[in-house]
Amino acid sequence: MKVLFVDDEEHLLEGLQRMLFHSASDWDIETATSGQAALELIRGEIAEPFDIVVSDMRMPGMDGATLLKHVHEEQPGIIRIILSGYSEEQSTIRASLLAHQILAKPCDADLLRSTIQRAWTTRSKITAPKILEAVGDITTLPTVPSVYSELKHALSDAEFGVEDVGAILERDPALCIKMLQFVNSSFFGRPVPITNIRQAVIHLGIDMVKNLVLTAEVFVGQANQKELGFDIDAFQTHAIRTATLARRILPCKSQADDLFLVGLIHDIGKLLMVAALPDKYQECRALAAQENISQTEAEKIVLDLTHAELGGYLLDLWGLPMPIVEAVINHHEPQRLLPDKNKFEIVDAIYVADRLLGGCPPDLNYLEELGVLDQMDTWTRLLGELD
Amino acid sequence: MFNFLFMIGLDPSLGKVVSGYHDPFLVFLSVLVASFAAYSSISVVERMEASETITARRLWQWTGALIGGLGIWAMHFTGMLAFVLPFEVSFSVGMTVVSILPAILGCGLTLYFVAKERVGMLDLQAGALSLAVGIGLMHYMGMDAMQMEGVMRYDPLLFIVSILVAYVLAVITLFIRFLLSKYFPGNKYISQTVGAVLMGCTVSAMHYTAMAAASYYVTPETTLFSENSANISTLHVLLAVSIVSAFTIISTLSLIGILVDRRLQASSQSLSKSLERTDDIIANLLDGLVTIDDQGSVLSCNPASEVIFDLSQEEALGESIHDILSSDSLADGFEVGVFSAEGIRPDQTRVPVEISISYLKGATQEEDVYTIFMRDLSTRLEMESKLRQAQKLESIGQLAAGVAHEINTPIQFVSDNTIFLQRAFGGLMDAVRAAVRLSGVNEAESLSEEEIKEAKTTLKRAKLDFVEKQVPRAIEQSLEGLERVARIVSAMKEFSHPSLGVKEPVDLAQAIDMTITVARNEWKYVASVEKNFAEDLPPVPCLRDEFNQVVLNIIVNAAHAIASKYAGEKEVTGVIKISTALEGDDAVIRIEDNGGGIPEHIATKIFDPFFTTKEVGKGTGQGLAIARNVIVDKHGGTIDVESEPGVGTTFIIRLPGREVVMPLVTDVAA
Repeated sequence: MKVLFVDDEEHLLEGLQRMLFHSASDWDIETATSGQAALELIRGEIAEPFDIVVSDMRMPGMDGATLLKHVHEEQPGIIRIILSGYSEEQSTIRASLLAHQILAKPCDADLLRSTIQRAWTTRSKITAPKILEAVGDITTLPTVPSVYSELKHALSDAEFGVEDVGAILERDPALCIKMLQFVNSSFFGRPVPITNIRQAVIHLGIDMVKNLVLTAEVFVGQANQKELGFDIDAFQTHAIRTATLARRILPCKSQADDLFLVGLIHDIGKLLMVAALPDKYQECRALAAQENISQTEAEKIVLDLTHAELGGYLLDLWGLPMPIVEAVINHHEPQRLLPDKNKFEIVDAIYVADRLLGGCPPDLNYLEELGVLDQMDTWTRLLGELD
Repeated sequence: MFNFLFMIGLDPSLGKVVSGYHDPFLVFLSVLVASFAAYSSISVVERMEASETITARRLWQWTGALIGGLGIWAMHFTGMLAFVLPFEVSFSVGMTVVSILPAILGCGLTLYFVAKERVGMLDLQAGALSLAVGIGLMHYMGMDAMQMEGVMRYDPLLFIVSILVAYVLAVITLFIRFLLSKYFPGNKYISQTVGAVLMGCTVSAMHYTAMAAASYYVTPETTLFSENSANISTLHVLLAVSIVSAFTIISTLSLIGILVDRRLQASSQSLSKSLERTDDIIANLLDGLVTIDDQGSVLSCNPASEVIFDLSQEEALGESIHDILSSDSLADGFEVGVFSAEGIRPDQTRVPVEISISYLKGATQEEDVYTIFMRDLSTRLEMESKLRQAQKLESIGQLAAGVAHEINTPIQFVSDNTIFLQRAFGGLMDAVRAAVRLSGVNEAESLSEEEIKEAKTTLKRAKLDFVEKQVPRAIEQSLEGLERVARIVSAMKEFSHPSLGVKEPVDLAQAIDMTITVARNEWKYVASVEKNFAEDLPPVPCLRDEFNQVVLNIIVNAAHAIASKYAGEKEVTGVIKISTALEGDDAVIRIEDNGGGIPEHIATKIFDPFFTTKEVGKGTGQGLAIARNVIVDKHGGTIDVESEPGVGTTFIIRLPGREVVMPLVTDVAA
């Protein structure tokens, strides 16, 4: 794996190299002290391109944001990570639109290493030939939801506010209705219902609303495909229940936004299949019924990949952050992340919730490895309490 | 006088009845005069209602009564002149004159009732009654004045009817007039005219009914006129006409009088209203208003100025303005214009005010009068002081993010280096132990292939070359990073340490250095800083934190100016040069940048409060205004700017080397 670190502080670059010397000795590490130098290095390496660029935001001359913008335009395949000491809300949001992941200085050595490693692993899954083959059959991939895209664009503007967000969203009433439907679902467990977008923005924050917009757009306009055996309402209900249960399993406030998003769109791959690969979808269903196996297993047999990976591919294409993409890809088999993972994370919560709702027990060995096996009873109870 | 009462009752035995006739022209004239009199009489009602004193009201009442009474009398007399009997008739003057009295009294009473504030039914009845009685009495007494050779008797029925007619018609007249005046309150003329005509008819009706009640008997002694000469004599006509004319003139005069009085009253009322309004305005002004003569003696002051000066009006009058208001503009005569000043209260505390002095040039002035308009500034100044505090916090807040970044970066690599050192140490120890083991083997023993291989692997894994090179550097850079953090923290602490308004000798070079460090994150991406501090500059007395604030603001402005000029350029070519020097007794600090410069038309405004060329949300525009306030007002120094658009800008601050005691102008404690 080829990694490029960019920071105007030389000592920092040297420190990183030393730190990674032992733990990531197989990485091919290069450094640059300015955006300009970094860009030249990247452009020079067309034959063996970089896999990952880790950059600071504030640098003299060309700043991090501009650098990553160029990288995105010229070599979109490179994973972009920001490691920054700046924590202003505005610049964070701007940064999140340019990078796959954001880390704050000072960053724990292990976290840095594992983050980079996982990003790369996820990316390799997405670019695996089998996916590209499957996707190649699809004539047109769904484009990134337009309102979401517009919203992201507006958010990258310096001065946005509640009014601007409201203005963008209110142009699509169906979208707003769907959004409010989600807002008032048991996931948020609000005592008093929220009745308009403005309230939603004020109470939930712009980040969550962004995620809300995405999920709502994905669900709006999806029709039932009864002949294929696909029921959108049941699909949506399952999505909300998964998200809600996962939230109760992992009540950490700071992760609520991501949990919401992953919970609702973790099966987006299925939507893709129904829409773009209906024959394959039907084939999987028939096989699953016939052999009495799960749909996912059938997918593995028919396509050699699952809706999880397909979904991850689509979300990556839409530019969602790496942690989200990773969680979606691995929500059936989080064990795959194991060597680089030692905590109970969002992907695990979704995994457990999904399994419990499906009536299958999760992998207890895996839970034991994470040290959360003792919580199974609690979680089973939470499942019972779910309405 | 009331002989007529005895004359009621017809008695054919008295003699032969003769009848007279009425000349139509004079009858008409009589009705006319009655109406005219009624009109003038009624007109006074309005004046009575508008009277401001009882005396005036009474005056109008009895003037009206007089006119009315005279009118009724004129009507009667004209009516009598219109009546032609076939024998000689003359009138006793005395009785004739006396007969006017009841008419006047009756009218007076009627006016009283009609001009009441709240006219009820009872008042109308009473008014009508008094009128009827008055007219009745007047008529029959007037009849009494007749001297003739015949005998006159009244038909009892018609006698009563005549009175009733008067009464009923009077009621109707008054009622209609009352209704009209109620429903057409704006136009008195309608009620007056209609009322007058009706009243004229009433009086006339009564008269002619009464005339009808009279029967004339001739005795054999009566000398009858011949048929031919039984026409109205020209003398009578002339007399009637002259009476009517005279009366008309009197009536007209009274009407004119009414009009004139109305006008006078209206204009005097409007004048007093206007004066009242002006007094009201002045009394309710929130700002103070004081007038003084050319010697400065206070002529008047309004309530608001009483508050400012903490003096009552009585205390202020006659005081010299110089004792209660201090301003340059008052020192030498009185200058017209707007100035700042201080009000001086009896307890010697001062109130900051803005005054505007103007000169009264009215032609009626015998002496010079100046007006001083005062606005109390203490609230405003308090607000400004609070704003300054806010700006201070704002500038520190702006820095916070940058300072956090400055600290986070060294922490990152110190942490990374330490982890490296930890692992390197582990590897080294393994290598050392392997070496120890190897060295502990006797010459006799030999190592197995395994052991040698293992030892080699351990040594290789330790990466000794890399470690040897990198460990010293790791340690060195970590120490440097930690030192950097310590320096920034210390600079922040020094920068914001409050001076509490007390000036202390400050090493300007050191203070500026601190500020440069604190602001590093603002300039390091766009410029480099060149320092040139004079060695011979002694400590300068100043307010340290406020001075630091000024330098910070200027440095940040310089960085922004450079950033916008060189935006997007790949190389960092901005330069900020800061120097200190001793010139005479003063310390001179120069901060020069090669940014975009300041265009000429803006250069004069940059020190104005709230003036900013930055977009909304970026800064409050207070930085340089505060700089001026600190350097000039608080230190007695100067701050100037030299700039060339496209080339750069230099700020030059001059601080007196010796402490200057500055007057505590409006330093409101926050």
